Amino acid sequence: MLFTSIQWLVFLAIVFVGYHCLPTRARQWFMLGASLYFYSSWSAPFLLLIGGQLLIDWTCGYILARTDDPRQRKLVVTASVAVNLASLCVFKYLGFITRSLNAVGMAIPVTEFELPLAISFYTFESMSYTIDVYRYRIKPVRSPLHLALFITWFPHLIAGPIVRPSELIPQFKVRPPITSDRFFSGLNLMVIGYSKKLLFADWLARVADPIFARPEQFTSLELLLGVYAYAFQILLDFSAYTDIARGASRWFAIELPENFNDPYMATSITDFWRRWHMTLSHWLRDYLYIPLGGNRKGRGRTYFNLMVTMLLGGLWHGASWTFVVWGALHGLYLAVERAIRLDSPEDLGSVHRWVRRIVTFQMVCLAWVFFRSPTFVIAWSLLKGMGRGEFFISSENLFPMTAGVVLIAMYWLCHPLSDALRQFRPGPSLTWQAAYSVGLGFFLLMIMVLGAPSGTFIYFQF
Amino acid sequence: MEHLSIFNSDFNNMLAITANRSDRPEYAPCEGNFFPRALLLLVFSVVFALGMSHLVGRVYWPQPLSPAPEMVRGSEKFWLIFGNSRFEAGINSDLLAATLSQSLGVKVKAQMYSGGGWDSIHYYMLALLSRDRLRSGRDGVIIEVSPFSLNDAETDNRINAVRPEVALTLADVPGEPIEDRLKILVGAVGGLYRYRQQIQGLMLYPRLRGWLMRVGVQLEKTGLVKTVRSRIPFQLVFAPGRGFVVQDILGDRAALRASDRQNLAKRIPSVRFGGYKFRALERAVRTFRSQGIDVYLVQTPTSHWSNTHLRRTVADTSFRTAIARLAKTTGAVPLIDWPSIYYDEQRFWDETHMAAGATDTFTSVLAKQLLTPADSSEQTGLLLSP
Repeated sequence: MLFTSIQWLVFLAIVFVGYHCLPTRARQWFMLGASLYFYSSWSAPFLLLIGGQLLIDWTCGYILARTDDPRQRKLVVTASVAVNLASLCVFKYLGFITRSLNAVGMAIPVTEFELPLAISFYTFESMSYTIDVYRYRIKPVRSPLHLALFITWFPHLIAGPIVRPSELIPQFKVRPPITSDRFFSGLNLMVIGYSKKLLFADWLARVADPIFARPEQFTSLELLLGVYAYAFQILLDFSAYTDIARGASRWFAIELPENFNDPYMATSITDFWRRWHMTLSHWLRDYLYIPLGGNRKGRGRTYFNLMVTMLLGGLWHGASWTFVVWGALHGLYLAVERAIRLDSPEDLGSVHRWVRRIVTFQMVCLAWVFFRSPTFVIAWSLLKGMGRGEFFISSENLFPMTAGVVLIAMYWLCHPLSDALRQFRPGPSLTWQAAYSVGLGFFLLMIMVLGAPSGTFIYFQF
Repeated sequence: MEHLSIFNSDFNNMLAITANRSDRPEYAPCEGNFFPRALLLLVFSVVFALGMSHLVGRVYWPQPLSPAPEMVRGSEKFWLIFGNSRFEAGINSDLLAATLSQSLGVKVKAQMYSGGGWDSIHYYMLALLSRDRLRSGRDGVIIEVSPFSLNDAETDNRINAVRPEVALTLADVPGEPIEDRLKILVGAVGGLYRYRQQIQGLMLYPRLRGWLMRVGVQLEKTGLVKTVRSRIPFQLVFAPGRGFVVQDILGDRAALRASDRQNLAKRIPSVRFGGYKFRALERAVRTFRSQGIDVYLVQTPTSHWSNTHLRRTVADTSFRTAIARLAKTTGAVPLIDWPSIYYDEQRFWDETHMAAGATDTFTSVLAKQLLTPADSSEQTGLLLSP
């Protein structure tokens, strides 16, 4: 059930009506049922896997609440983390590990399982629950229902944002009615999300995909434009998902955290990670970088910790060496920036700020080449092609390339419009709201005619 | 654990939580329940969008998908052909009609209704649109069959293009994915949605492209755009007005073949047979057979490589068994296997589509099969092999 499918829209409408018609006590069970149905529409058997992990983490939380013995507590949290990581390793990385070992000459049979959808997302959330209980940051939940809702909350189940238990679980305990503000802010976010996905990201994919499939057929300028197209495709695709997830959640009085904040306006890679996939970077900081020692153990160790954090962050995205290189590049960027003090915030002049934005964007795009390329051969061919120095567009590729440039430019031009729409709320009068409704109708019409035949969201594969 | 965040203030700064977003809602607790009005607003928007889409869609004139009664009446025998790109590449309906007319000495007409990527769901739609148009005991229908067009794993195949008059029946095929059913129904109501592919592909895209080409001519003067020797290893030259009939291949044929084999090698193992697509075919066949119309289930040959790979799959075995059973229970004639020369790789421009030269030969041999009575021993060599 993709967010771009009609089935999703019907499902959301039914859940919206059901939720607000049911008595308050039944709502949470209803939402759990809806979330389980949502996941089962992708893959019902893997519900057992989520259920198993959930039960283990709830039990661990229950035990942690009943003991203050540090040794026992450590044992319980280690067991919980081990089970979660084992599940992630088996389903996501076993094939990658056995294939890699074979490549270095060890004759091990390649074993691969079907990848459960969203495993990276829900495993991280599930782990954060027991770790936070262990650290006394949250109280364990009494009812497994709240933990189940936290993990499986349908708008964010498949591709985040990665929510902390302290952010989401308390919200389940408050059950306010839908207000016009919540309704319109949610609807506006969804409209923005659908515009990003169907009017921009999926069309940009048509420009970027051939570049990453057959880079040898394109000139240097075309390759460069193709990489830029991908940079905006992935931003718009992922932030569209987040917008729709946040918007849908607001209809049920749940606030999910923001995941993006104009990442391509970053003036350094450090700044980029403050703005890109923020819930993941916060997770990595709190549950990986800081436990590794953060910046408390000297410069060398700080660089090492940064590198390890980003390498594992890369691997989190997918079981492939290209993701590892993507993570390594970002780790290297962060370490170098820290070494030469480029990460420290300072008052930059307008020109200086723009120069840094442009340089940062190029560095991010270089890393995207590895992130998107299916193999190193393709990535190398693409980089080599960009170095050929053919700064023209061949007439046969004029249409897709111009389309890419126009779409990116239109996105920038529409940016203030989307900011305005986020804040817009129609007045309380019937006339205002009828006008809003007609506007929404025209938007649906535009999507019907101009929307790209939609593919899945990029982050669904992670 | 608080001290950790103090020690790591630099990193905290680096990854500072960006709060205070402008879109954070400011709730007004005194406002009360907005639900009934919200619901009304949503319903109105959807009704408005579908209503407008319906009205605008009525202005668009789509391609006809069934023969006019006078077209059928103007012939002694009328053949309807339902297919996809493999049929467009493999069968020349004009030649088929001419060959049959010559052999029978009467006026035979043949009309093909086809679309790229169409499958049995579309054929069922065509069958429903054409029922009661053909004459019992005189006319016939040729329907494309293959594990590809009966592949349950390939959903959402331009399914929103289904015409409104048969939408409810098509949305009712047992086992059909919910999303496909909904697309059929929304397409039935919203004309703009129903014709979106045609509107994008035939109206918007060519205009934008044409305009851009004119701009490109100007840009060539600046050196930003250049006409260079194509780096695409192959280009297909299509027969005028026939989308999938390739007259010539410019460039590297081996590269084309390799690329197509790569695609097929991924596609063939994912073929899943036996669900709602077959049920749709079954219903399409029964629609005609119940009216006494001859039905031929034809699988066009593919290249030897493709055929060999497909034959190894469980889906192909199930396909053959199911088609044989369908033929037996309905009286339809299956033409699935052809003499080995028709699988010669030279006859195809890729692995599954016949080249222009092979189209006529295959059309002639198909015509010969149509002239031979279904129970004749002459047909056994071309019928379904066990």
